[in-house]
Amino acid sequence: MRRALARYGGALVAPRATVAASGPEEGLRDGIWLSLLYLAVTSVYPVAEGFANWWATRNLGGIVMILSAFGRALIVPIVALVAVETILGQGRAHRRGLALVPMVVVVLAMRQVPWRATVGVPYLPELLAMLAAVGWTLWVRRSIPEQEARG
Amino acid sequence: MSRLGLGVGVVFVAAALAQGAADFARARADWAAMGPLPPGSAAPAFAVRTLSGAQFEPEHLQGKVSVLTFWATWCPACRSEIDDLDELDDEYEGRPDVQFMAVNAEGVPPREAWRKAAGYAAKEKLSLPIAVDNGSMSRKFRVGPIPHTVVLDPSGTVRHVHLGRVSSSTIAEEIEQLLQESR
Repeated sequence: MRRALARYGGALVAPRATVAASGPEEGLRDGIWLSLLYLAVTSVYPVAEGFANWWATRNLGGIVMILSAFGRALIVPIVALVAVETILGQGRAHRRGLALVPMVVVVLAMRQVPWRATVGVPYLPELLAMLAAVGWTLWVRRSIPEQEARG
Repeated sequence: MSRLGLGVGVVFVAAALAQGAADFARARADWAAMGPLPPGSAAPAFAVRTLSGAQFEPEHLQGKVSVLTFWATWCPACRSEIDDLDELDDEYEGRPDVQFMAVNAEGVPPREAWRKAAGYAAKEKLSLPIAVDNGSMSRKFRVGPIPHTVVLDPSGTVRHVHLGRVSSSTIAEEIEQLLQESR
């Protein structure tokens, strides 16, 4: 837990040093934990709305609404992880999860500003978050020790 | 791993969880008003005009099983459902205890919505009654994604809500069940 927190903080304050110092078996579940944090920041209310729809209908349509809420929430981290993995390549892909740290920071920051009132771009936080993940990955890529591809 | 990294990591995770907790608290507070108007609710006050020029209001729900479907011409699932409901409406033709109303929720200015709804009804030769909503009735029934279909009993109480495409056989079963209850 302590090492994970230090890794997440390190990904923000000293990204290259952090990825270079992380052991090969360290943080293999970062992608899962950080995706859950992403959901916590962006999707608690929409998922609750999905449950409210199901509560009112109690039928298949309501279940579809819940699945749709989860699907809309998860599509961004999934696409980001695929993009990051493509950039990193097979030998460095074990560090892909950490790229979600800047994503979570961006969506968290965007939650604090009333961007909807001033900017007419839909999905702006998601777009900026993806850019942050991709930019972070390009920045640290060469510092990640390459691993032998696993059979 | 530096102390700075650990500190920033703690703040990062705490801030994300705090945002999630705040949203959860907001969702709990809003729970009663979330989602569609649920079964058991009385029909809210509304007034829409039908394509034939008549006014449609809650008092017209009294004494009849009513099927209200919110739809738009740009929505393929709605068009498919409207075609089915048009056939079902024909089956109940002449029955004073059952009524259908397709409430157009086009999401465009009223005149344009009227033109599109009337154009679609003429093109498809629909006999299903159609009303045009300026958004107010949809808000009162808390309509989100369409098609959104509500079945009300003869006292004007919401009994069934369907989000997304619903088959006419399901609606027919619900109508028959409510008719039996009211006998």
